[in-house]
Amino acid sequence: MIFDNWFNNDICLTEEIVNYLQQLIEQNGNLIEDYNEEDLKIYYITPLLNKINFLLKDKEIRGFYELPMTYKTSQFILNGTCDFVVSKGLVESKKPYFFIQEFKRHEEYGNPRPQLLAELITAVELNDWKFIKGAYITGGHWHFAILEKLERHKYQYFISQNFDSTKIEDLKAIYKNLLFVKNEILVMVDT
Amino acid sequence: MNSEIELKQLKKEIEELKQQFATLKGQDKTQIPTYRYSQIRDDSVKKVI
Repeated sequence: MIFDNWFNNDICLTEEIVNYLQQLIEQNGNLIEDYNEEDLKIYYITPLLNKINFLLKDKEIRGFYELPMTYKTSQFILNGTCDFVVSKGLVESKKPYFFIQEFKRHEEYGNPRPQLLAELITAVELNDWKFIKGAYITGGHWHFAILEKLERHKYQYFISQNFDSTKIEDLKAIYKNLLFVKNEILVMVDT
Repeated sequence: MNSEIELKQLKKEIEELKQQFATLKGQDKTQIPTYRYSQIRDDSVKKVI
């Protein structure tokens, strides 16, 4: 399984982190399905991402919200803004590592999966990588994704099982998976 | 009747001008399909993949 290495990580969460996650669920749990996308972002997703802390000044890494990104080929153009991208660079994004796409309830094109995949294709090409990771969120539900570039203009992707962030065990797993990504980025930056 | 024909002609000319303008800006959508992340659907992603 392609997700084994990622999900079966040996990261241990401290009691303080588990309490924080539990509190996040208690505060938001029964409201999540009624939140609009801004509510969800402000009350539930951002506190989680801030706790992970993707803002690492000394490593010149941070999370960018609403990041414009374009990939142009002779056959197609992908462009638009990405909800959240962890990237090299503090003032501007220089190398995107990880993407999170949120469901837009009010939009006709609400499905976040194709949006995320298009963003991952852009990033894998801009970085000239073989693999890239991301996640998409629909209400309280998280899916993680891996995109693999097979050859020029040929890709395949893998979508994980659902993680229900309103359940503590799933939220702990989401937190660990994000922490794993952060650690992986740190290794990439250092090498 | 005449005003209907004029309106139709005017719309056609506007479309042609839009197309010419897009070509000049290098954004000729008839040449290269452009997909916005926020509007892309599964079938469009499959076309790209």
